[in-house]
Amino acid sequence: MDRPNIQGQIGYLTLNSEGAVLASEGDLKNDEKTAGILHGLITLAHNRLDPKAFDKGFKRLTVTYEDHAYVVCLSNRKIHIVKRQVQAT
Amino acid sequence: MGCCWSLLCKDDNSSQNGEPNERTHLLVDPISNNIHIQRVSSENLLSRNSNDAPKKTDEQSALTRILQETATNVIDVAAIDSHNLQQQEYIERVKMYNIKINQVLAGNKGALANSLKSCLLEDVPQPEKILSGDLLNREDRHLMTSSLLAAVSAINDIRVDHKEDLVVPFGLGLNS
Repeated sequence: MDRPNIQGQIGYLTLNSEGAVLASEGDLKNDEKTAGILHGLITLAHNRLDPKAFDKGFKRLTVTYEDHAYVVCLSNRKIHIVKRQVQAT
Repeated sequence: MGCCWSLLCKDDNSSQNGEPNERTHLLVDPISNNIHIQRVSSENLLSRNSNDAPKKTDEQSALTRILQETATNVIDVAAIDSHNLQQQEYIERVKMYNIKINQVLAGNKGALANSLKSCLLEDVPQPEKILSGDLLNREDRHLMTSSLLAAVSAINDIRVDHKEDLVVPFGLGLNS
């Protein structure tokens, strides 16, 4: 899945486990800054959260804003980041 | 794949019993090996020729000087009796380098796995499914934002309500 196509998607990034950009498109094209921040965020969250406090591991990390959201998940040792438009309801 | 940092690793050849390896220079340093080429400074030439100096020898000496200086600065590849690589040796070296590269890569794989260990997320087989899942709905977001704001304002509101003296005299009642 190097070119994700998700409803409301306005950009995507694929990173390797070290946080280097493998693929990017749309709003996130060559956006190494966002890549660095989100990669740092999942490492930071891992250091801050005690796994014993949760029944299951985490599958997704979402950073939500008023009108858009960054959705992060890990698959096949790659970090997939999708920027999605938030539907105004 | 010649090694260019010849000045730094001059002694490597001798330590490997003269066997060519990946650190053997393809070109030998001509300045240190060719004794007969000597750097002649222009001052030497001037003083030598100042006594019997007709104009022609001056020009000739200047020419020789330029020639010699050029000779000391240029590496004449054809003239150097360097170790020529044979086809078989090329193949052997390719094999050797590949083995070394694989060793380095194997070492790095452990580092890669380690960097994933510090990742909060689980590896999932179908990322599209997870990524396209419903986002946080409006009510939940509102609840989180409002309770967070309430918590922040509560924390900012914490203050010491000063009612009694901070310093309390202990045990004074017993002595009196």
